[in-house]
Amino acid sequence: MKKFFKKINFRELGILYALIILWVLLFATNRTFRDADIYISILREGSILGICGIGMTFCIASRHFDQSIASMMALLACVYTALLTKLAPSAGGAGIFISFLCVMALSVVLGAFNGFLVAKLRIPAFIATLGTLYVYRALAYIVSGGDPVIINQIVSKEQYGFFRTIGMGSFLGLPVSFWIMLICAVTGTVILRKTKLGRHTLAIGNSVSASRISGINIDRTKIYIFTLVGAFVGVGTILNAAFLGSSNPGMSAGYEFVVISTVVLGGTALSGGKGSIFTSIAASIFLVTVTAGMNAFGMDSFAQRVVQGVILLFAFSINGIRAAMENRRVKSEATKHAKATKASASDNG
Amino acid sequence: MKVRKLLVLLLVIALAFAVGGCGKTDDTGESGSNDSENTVSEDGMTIGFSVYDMQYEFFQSMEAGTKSQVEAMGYNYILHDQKSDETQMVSGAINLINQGVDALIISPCKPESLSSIVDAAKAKNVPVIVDDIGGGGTDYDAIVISDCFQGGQQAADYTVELLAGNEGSKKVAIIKCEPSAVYAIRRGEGYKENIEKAGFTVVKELSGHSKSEEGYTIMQDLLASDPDLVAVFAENDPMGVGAANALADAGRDDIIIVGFNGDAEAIDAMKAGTMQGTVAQDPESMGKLTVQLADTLLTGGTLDYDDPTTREIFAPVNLIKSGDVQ
Repeated sequence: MKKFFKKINFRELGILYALIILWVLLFATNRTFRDADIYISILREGSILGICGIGMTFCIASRHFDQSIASMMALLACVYTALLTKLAPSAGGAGIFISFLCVMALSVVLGAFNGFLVAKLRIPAFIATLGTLYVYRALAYIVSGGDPVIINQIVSKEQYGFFRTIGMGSFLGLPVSFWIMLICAVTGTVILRKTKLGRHTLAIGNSVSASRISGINIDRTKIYIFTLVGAFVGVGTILNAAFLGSSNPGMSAGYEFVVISTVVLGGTALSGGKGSIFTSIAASIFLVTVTAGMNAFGMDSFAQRVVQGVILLFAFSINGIRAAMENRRVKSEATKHAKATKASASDNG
Repeated sequence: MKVRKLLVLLLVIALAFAVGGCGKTDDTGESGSNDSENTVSEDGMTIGFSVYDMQYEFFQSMEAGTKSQVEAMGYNYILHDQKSDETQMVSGAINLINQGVDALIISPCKPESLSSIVDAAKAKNVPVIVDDIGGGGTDYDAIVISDCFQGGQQAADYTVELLAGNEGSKKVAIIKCEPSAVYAIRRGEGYKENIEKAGFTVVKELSGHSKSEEGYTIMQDLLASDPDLVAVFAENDPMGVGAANALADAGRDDIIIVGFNGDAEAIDAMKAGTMQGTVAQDPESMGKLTVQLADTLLTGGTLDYDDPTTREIFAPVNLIKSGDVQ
């Protein structure tokens, strides 16, 4: 146990402290936050965001970006409901399971395709995923014919109960999506900390050329990273579709920015080489709490946009702030050191 | 270092809540209780309104109407802005229910995602009134929509009035929205009923998918196939304006065009004389109506539906004539 705590770097957990303090503040000042319902609701929404953030943590830690995930979510959700429409009435529970597997398989393919563009065709990730952002979104419109699908209307009553449980239900007092997020987070952490893929991800983020010299297969690692992004987005999509009870081709627009922001707010450096899934998830719950808190206080919605913008700017400037402070610390220590040497020199003299 | 970073973040949040809190106090003029300005107070009942997006003028008017009526009827009021985002819509509306509102009014940005909200409301016995857009096939208590059929009829009557004494043909056409826009389709049906009563014939009904550019090309096609048309009705203003532009480009000013919505671009076209009228929805009175319905349900009354199967209640619409905007 002691060993376990020794491994945790408490200095890196800033976002977790911020989350706890925010919850204490809200608990003290707002009656809504003295009821368990609001926390469950926050965890439910934060878990979906967190799951999408797991893959993105790998991506950003390797110094890449995936802008296509919101479009990917829309496409996967549209395919999912299209499959459910066909399979759920005829094949029952097996149909739902097959739809689920197909969506997961497709999410892996979509992610791997992004990775292929980046690794093999040498398109910068920023541009490659911008391209697939449009392609996946357009495919979502084609698959769905532009129409929304309401899950309640395509499955039987008992089957809908199952979707309600995934989307809105609880297990042992906590949302089902939270438990699924925990499983995903542990999986993600093990991959990042314990496997070759995880170490290679961080190595690429630190320095591509150094990684190449040390014999890391960079192309393959990049493809795996984007595949991971896709896979976690697939899980997130299934939870999100159950949460919303529907799909539509225009859904989740702008979600990629929210996911990238949570990962960065969680302390994964945009400059790569460093990342933590635990703090990414804490950050996603933090962001959802801020929104819920602002709503609970009835804050004007234009002011809400300002606050969200400021938090994001803060998240993206963490690196700069950290570098500036590090700089100052080094300088002040250098002066101290110089003074000390001077003093000892004059003592001797 | 970490501590300092944390302090900055907390400062931002504290500032945010301070701003929000102050704004709220100014609005209501109540600063007596320092305990959560926007949660349900112990005394009196609360009506929550989840609005589509406060960036749009339509919903600003709707919110103004809702708020004034809620306050006039002595309820507490909580507003939530979905900002056109379905996740915000579901989580925000459910949080309103968690906050303990006694009735929920919602203008859903994505009606297809209403089911989770309505289920959560039903579990806590909170009535749900949908304001415009659509009900998503859920178990809501009532949906308020503009009286589209009657609006179409008004447009037809106005067209007939303008054409009185006209010696031209009796041919008219309708440019329709996409078939899935169930409410918009009723506009054309209302128009058709009254214009045919007056002895005109609807020779073409074409879908412009609610888009301005399709309104333009359809009008061009109509001019080619039926150059002797005397009037065109567009089920929304963008298509009406598109059609008006096509007419202007073709140098024709002898065809009456009436649209639907009361959009600013249609008013401009009417000022320029290329369009003759539009039927405006009245979001403010729609908002007021939803509160009256919520009040009826909260005081144990029953609602008087215009269409009991879909639980629809119609809000009146206003015809704007070209003479009104000059």
